[in-house]
This record gives sequence, structure tokens and C-alpha cells, in this order.
Amino acid sequence: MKSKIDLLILISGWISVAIIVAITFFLFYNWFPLFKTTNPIEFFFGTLWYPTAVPPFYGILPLLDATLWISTLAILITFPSAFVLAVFMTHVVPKRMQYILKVFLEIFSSMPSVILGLIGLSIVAPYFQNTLNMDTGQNILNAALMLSLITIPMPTSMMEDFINAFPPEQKEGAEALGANKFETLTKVILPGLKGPFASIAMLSLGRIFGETMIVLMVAGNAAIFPTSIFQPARVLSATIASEMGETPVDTPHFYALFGIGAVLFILTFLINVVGEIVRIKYERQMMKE
Amino acid sequence: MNFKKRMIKQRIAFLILSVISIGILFAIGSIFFVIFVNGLGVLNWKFLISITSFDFKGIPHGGIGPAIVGTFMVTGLGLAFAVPIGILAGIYLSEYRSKGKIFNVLRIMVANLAGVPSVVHGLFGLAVFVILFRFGLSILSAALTLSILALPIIIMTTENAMRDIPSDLREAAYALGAKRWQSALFVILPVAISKIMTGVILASARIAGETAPILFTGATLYLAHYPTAINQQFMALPYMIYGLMTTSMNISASMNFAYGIAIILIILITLMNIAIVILRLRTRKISS
Repeated sequence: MKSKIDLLILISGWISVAIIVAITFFLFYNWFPLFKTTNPIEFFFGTLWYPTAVPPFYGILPLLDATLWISTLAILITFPSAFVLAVFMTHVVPKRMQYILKVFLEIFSSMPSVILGLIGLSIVAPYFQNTLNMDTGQNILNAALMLSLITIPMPTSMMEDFINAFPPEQKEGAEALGANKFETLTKVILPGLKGPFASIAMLSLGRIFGETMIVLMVAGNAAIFPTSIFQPARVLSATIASEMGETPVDTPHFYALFGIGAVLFILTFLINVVGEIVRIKYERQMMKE
Repeated sequence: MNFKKRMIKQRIAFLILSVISIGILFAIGSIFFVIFVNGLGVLNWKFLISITSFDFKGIPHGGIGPAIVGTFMVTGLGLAFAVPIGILAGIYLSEYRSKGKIFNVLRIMVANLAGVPSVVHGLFGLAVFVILFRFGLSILSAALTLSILALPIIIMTTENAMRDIPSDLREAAYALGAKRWQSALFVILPVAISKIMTGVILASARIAGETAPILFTGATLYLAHYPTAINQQFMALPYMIYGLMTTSMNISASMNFAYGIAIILIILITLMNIAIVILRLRTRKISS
């Protein structure tokens, strides 16, 4: 017999599904009225984002392009850094130090991203502009650097867990054959962890993709197609954050911003689902071994 | 390759790794340093409890009292919604549906909810709580939005905490005639609670520092008084940093103020993390 409490637990258990469905519904519900006035092709492939011009242009291609630039650069910095840090923590420093560093990184990872935005805006940007003579300090490179810093702790800690959980028989086997720590790492552990590391890269990318405050504050907010990492850019998330506050409800601009939200949501959803599926698959494989 | 050469290769590799790692750790450490150097000047009791005011040049004066209260109110209210539901959901995943296809789907959905960009949560909060439910721009709308961010963190830690409890306890409870929910709520939950607390603290640290979800659900840059009811707009610490740095007419005067707020946020979050470490050490002792 089921009690009322069982029912309550059941409903709570499904709440995440309900919320995901609700988010999807409300994003689309507030997006589709846009297509009464704007052609979908113009929305996805339009090269101009001038939402307040007369007539307005709601093309998200420059925003999508900038998002790809910044996320690609950020993941190229984040992933190798996290990898090096994870190896450093598991192979070089003593156990006690590893624990201290883990706590330190954990504290840093819960640092609000707006603080990284503050640093990027007030310290890195002037340095880029005045000392390195860039045209503007608020650019793709600055945003990618700040994004990487805030993201690094997550993949580091995940890689560390995977390296620590690597089947000891295989490790000891290699060592018994005379391999040293470094050779065991490069010839046994890393080839065995290709899959999990791929999923970690996906999950970090998902995080970077959706980050808002840092890019909003330090990327320079110019809706153009960048041609170098020293140019300003405006990404999907930052566009919503900077414009939604001043946009009247139920206008084409309002619908277009929900459209950007829907695109962002779908992209991060896909990245995360692939990352999660790969992670679960390898977690299980490692447990079996 | 002879033994010596291989040892040298290992040494060089680890040396390079160490140099890069220390560089990254140094960069992270210097962030804390820079914040404290720039912000310490504005810190005093008055800064913590006074109401903010801006003069005609746009330079901030007074303190951040209303923003501290606002941040505590949305965080607290957000947790009040998220904690009970999150714990029950975690119980469902660990005690009711702990394996199989549906379990995998549910788990991936929780992970996905955790991966939703925070600005999308803001849009959802705007569409549902502000507009549909007519809560308007308010502490309530913002807290509900933030509670959705907190949920997956609480669900995942609850599930893991309950799963770690050995099944003898469950079987003992069932043998005494307990129903599944009785065993879950009265036998397993009390044992797992300190681990679950780490998730709750983690979630509160996360939502206290969020800016994007509250941008258009209720946060405001300026309020002449302390918030008194949950249907009012509010000031919040992270949003104030953003506002001071982007809308101020006098950036250099606002900057130190913003750094002062950053110190307060970092202190809050560090205290929460220390609490987590202590809780973890305690649970480790109990289980060993």
C-alpha cells in the first residue's frame, strides 16, 4: 500500500524532469511569437543583431560566432591546465598537500563569477590596453582567461578522482614491469582514461558555454564577427543578460531574447547529455574492472 | 633506454608540470590577494550596516546593509523551497528507484538541470514567477528562481549520502516492520544528514553568489531602505558589484566599493566551505 508520503517522494523524484520540461516549454512559448514578424532563417542566419534599430534586426549569427570563439579559446586553456594540475596533485605533491590544494580549489570554484568579472574589468583590461597596447582590454582573450580560471577547478577535481580511482592492479602491473611513475602515467593510466577525460572536456565546455557574468563584463559587448582574439565580442548569454532588463514584455525583442535562451539551452543540453552519457558509461566500466 | 635516462625524463616532465601548476595556483591565489588589497580600505562596521547612497556624481557612499540583508533573504527563502523537495527527490533516487533505465534517465535529468545556464534560469523565472504567477519583480520570484539552481546540488548530495549508508540498516528497519518511507525518513536520513548538510551549504554558497538569475526577477541596484517583505524588490551583493562596475559614472570611485563587497562575499563563501570541510571530517570519523 502506498502512503501519502510515498506519493510526495515520488513527485519530488520527478521534479527535475518536470522543471526541464517546463523550462523547454516556456522558452519556446515565449520565442515562437517572434516568427510572426521575423523569418526563422533571418533569426538563425541573419548577420545583424540590432534589436532596437528601426527596422530591427534579430540575427543571432554574430552572437553564436562569438560564443564559439570565446568557448573554444577558454576550453583550450582550461583543459590542459586542469590536466596538468590534476597530474601535479596526484603524482608530485604529498597526500596531505593534495588535500589542502583540493580544498583551496574547492573554495575558489565557489567564488561568484561576478568577482572574476570585476578582476577582468578593473585589472586585466587596463593592463591589456595600457601595457600590452591592445586596442581594447575588454576582448575575447580577457574573457576566455577569466572563464578558464573560474572553470579549472571542476575538471581538475574530476580528473583527479578518475586518476585516483584507476584500477591499482594495472598500475601495479606496470610498476612491477619496471615502469616509473611517469611512464605508468603516460603509457597505462592516460590511455585508460581517454573516455572519461573526453566527457570531462564536454562538461567543462557546457559550463563555459552558459557562463554569463564574466563575458558580460569583460568581453566588450560588440555584436560583430571577430577576426582575432584581441577584438571585443558579444556572446549569447551576455546578450540576454544585458538587454532583457530594459525590454518590454511581449515585444519582438522580448521574444528574440527568449529565442537566444532556447538556443543556448538546447546547445548546453546536448553538450551535457553527451558528456553525462560518456561519463556514466566509463564510470560503470571502471567499477566492473 | 637505460634506467638513468628514463629517470631524468621523469624528472624533467614532473618539473615542467610543477612549474605550470604553481603558475596556475599562483594566479588563483593572487586573485584573493588583489581583492583584499583593493577592498580592505572601505571595510568598517558602517560599511556593513549602513544604507547605500549615491551622490550627484554617481559615487557610492554609506554601506551595503540592504544588499547583505537582501542576499540573505533570497538565499534563505530559496533554500526553504529547495531543501525539502531536494532531499525527498534524493530519497526517491536512492531508496525507491536506485537502478534501471528510469533511474538513469532521472539522474541524467538532474545533471542536466545542474548544467542549465544560469541566465536561462533567469528567463524561466521571469516567464513563470514574475509574469505567469504575477509575483512581479520581488524577493519571492528571485528566491524561487534560485531554488531551482539549488535543487540539483541538493538532490545529488542527498542521493550519494543515502546510498553510502550500508543496507543492513534498511533491512533491520524492514525486519521491524517499517515501511519504505519510514526506513528512509527515520532510519537512513538521520545517519546521512551531516553529509546532506554539505550539499545544502554548497548550494547556498552557489546561489548567494549568483547574479544572472536575479537580474530580471527582482534585484535592483538601489534601494533607500532595508527590505521588509518578500513582495519587494531587493539589493544583492553580487548584483551590486556588477552594477557598480557597469553603470557607474565614476568607475574608480565605485571600484573600491565593489572590492569591499567582493571581500564580504568571499568571507561568506569561505566560511561556508570551512563548514563543509569540518562536516566531512566528522562524517569520515563516524563511518570509520
